Amino acid sequence: MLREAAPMYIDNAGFTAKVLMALPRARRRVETRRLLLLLGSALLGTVITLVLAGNQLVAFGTLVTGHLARWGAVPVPWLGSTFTIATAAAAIAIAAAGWWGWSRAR
Amino acid sequence: MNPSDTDLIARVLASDDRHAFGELVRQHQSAVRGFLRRLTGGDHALADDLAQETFVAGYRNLRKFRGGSAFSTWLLGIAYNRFRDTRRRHNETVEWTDTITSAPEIETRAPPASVAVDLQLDLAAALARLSPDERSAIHLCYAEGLTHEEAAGVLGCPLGTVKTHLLRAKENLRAHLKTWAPA
Repeated sequence: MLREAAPMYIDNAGFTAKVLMALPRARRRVETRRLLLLLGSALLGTVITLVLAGNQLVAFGTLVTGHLARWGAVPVPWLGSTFTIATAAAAIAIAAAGWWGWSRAR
Repeated sequence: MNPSDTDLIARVLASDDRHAFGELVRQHQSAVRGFLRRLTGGDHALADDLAQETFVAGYRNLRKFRGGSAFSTWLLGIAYNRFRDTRRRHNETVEWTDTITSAPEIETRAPPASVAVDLQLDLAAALARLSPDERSAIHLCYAEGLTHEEAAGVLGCPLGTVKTHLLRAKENLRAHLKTWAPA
């Protein structure tokens, strides 16, 4: 008699759909792949540029360092601390962006 | 032929296949919802909320399912824990057994010719008067056809405790249904 008193089959009636909607977001495999592709492309582009530029890059570098040296000679007392703060801010921003991208890609 | 639980679980784990998980839900929703409806004394809304939480928890913890028991048994264990947590959260302020007067009899199987409808109704009411633990043990062993060992696994208690719950449940049912006892 206890077996006969068991609840009858309960119709699904949209229950499965509700469960599927409540599941955590699907893993973003595509975005991870896209991120890796982007980073890989950037790295490859840098290497190709370095290889192809050759002497021209060295000349450009000399030009830039020359300008930097000239600017460096200008006595600006707050330039060092500004540069330090800017570098630290940029590092934090890059780390935060990296963390955000990584956590979204999981 | 329906794919087996093992195949579906493998598909979910391998490629996060939502259709496969949907199929698992479809196959087991009736048992889980029925169990929770029995535990909550026929509170369909609460039972369905708990059932939904059960399946979501099952999805999240699917990797922990080792196949030592049937998938349905594993799910019923999660469902029971959800029910217990909810009951604890409510701090026993909700009187689970007071809400059972009408719902269970609506969803019991059509009684066979040999069993009177009145007896079925009284049995449903008597079942609802049992403690949640006793009701769980009775439901798992009689409605779901689990062995005592499997029921102990679902309820997370020793085998002896399940046997005690069953014994007490039967005594209580006998007392509630004494008017039906043969003269």
